Amino acid sequence: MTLANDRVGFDREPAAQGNAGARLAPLVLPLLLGISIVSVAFSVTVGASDASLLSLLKAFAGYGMEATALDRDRIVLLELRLPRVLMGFLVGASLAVSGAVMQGLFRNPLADPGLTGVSSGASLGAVVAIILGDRLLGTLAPALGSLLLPLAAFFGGLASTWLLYRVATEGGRTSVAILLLSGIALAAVTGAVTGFLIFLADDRQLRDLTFWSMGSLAATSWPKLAAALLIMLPGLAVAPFLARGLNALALGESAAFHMGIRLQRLKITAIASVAAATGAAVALSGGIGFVGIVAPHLIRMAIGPDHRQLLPAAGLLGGALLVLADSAARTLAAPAELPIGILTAAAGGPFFLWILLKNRARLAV
Amino acid sequence: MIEAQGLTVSLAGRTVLQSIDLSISAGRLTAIAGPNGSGKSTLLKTLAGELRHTGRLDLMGEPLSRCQPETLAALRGVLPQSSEVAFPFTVADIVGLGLETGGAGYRSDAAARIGAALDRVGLSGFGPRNYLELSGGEQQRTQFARVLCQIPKAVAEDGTPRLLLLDEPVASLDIRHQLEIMSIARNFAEEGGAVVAVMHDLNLTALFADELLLMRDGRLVVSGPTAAVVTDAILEKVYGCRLRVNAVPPAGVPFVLAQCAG
Ligand SMILES: Nc1ncnc2c1ncn2[C@@H]1O[C@H](COP(=O)(O)OP(=O)(O)O)[C@@H](O)[C@H]1O
Ligand SMILES: [Mg+2]
Repeated sequence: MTLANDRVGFDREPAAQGNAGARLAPLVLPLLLGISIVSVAFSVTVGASDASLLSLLKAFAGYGMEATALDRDRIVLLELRLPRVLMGFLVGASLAVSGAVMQGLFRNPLADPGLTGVSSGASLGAVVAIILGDRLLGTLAPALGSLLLPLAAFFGGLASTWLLYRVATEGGRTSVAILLLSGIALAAVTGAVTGFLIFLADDRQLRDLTFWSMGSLAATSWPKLAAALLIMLPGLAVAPFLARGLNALALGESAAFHMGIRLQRLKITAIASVAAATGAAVALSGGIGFVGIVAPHLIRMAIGPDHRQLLPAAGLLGGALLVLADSAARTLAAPAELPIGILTAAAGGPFFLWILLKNRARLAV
Repeated sequence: MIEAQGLTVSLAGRTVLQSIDLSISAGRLTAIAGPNGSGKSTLLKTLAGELRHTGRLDLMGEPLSRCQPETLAALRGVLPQSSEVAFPFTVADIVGLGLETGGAGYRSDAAARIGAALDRVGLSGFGPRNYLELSGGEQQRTQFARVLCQIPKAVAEDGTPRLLLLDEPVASLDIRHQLEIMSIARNFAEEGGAVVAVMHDLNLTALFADELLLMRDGRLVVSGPTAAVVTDAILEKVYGCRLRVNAVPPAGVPFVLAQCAG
């Protein structure tokens, strides 16, 4: 056929417009890494006690301070603030990465571990572990120690993510209404079961439960953080390997299969990753809302939806946002502390509403 | 390249394809035509390995159901009838997805390959545009460029032919782009690959296709060289309306003219 070679005479299509996001992409990861480091360093110096980063450095150098002040600063910074700030960062990163993975899996920018009930399921796992752990597991419960709570939250998150996927998607399509309504149902079930379990609880369990469900970053310690990391890090570590599959999945299940993606494996890995990262985050902090929807959305607006950049960038941004929110929570009402959930909800709620309005057309199904 | 015997597919309890025998050869452009709902897309999806089937279906002598997704992705590209993209990817992002299939991984020449594929489908310079803001025809050509990135050559280095499965590749294109896209498919076949394309426009089919499969109600009514299949009697039987086939004088290419129902 000669037609293919006959194109010279045709005039060209109008020139395409540039897209700033694509050119920004290579800068964004280093930039976010810098912001993360700065916000962690800043947050370590902020709080009721005025131990500064400089005094910490001096403490390490053992220079220019009296022994008692030095010890006090070291305790405040190393035993209290540093684990708390790191935990805040990891919780934020986990929720943001989980949000981005869920949005890719459900092919929908409104999926979020909090709104869809995955956090509720994880909380249920944690509550069951706190109150029934001794009864169900016997001597195994004390043996698991700090690992019990994140592990139970992981299984709770796994069950709820799996359930959600089965209920809300059909033939590769996700119904937004069912996605969000299932979240309400899961939260209701969690509330009911938690209420029932409180009847069964003894005083010590009740105290543990209350302490945990306050949902703050205040009660951090290195052992708790280490236990949660055992669950959280594998969840975060597999996320980059999901990027190519989630990109292909954005074109639909058939197209992803045509491009050589093993759908079953992708879905199972994504669900397990979300359950592990969200479960560990919930076990640590009691569930902090909206990070999972705000961070990925901001990154998509800045550099586009390519999951290879979106997943790490959203993780860094989510971590930095939560660290800064925690700094604010510790200083706004100092010496008292605001619950961090109030701050994320105050900022995230209107943001979510804004995304809802932007996606109004999609929701009318 | 593809051999099927007694190929039967049921969807949601309904038999959508019924005992189809066919053979697709490398070096040929095979068109599938037939009325709406006759099972063309279902047949193409089955050939792509997407649907559970009974009967024999072999790709390069091997049962298709036993091929792994990544093996298939290296052998054949699929252009679906419609695609829904969930996020605002750029055109270059979408086309680039085709590059990473078959375990190819990152390519240092990705940008050049994406640009070349876009040039071929007449979308030069569209790379940075938001896919969701393109017209239907531009979106379809973007998807075609993605398929071209996935299967860049009609024949692999080891001499094995590649396969393109195209579901209504020119459905929403203007006439110039219809000709361009069909020419690319035609060249792919002439270079030794196999192309299977679902077509509605019988004249375009007569112009480009070597073989024609006509379907009706989930069955293969007739198959053979296009010129032999495009006849008044066969078309009336398949489509259930009066059609008159004539020939364009110089090349003897058939063309179909609809007749008034009365
Ligand atoms: N997923 C499905 N479930 C049930 N029936 C289906 C499904 N997909 C297609 N069909 C039916 O199969 C028949 C053939 O569909 P299709 O192959 O899409 O036709 P076309 O020839 O127009 O491409 C139609 O009657 C359609 O309703
Ligand atoms: Mg069709």
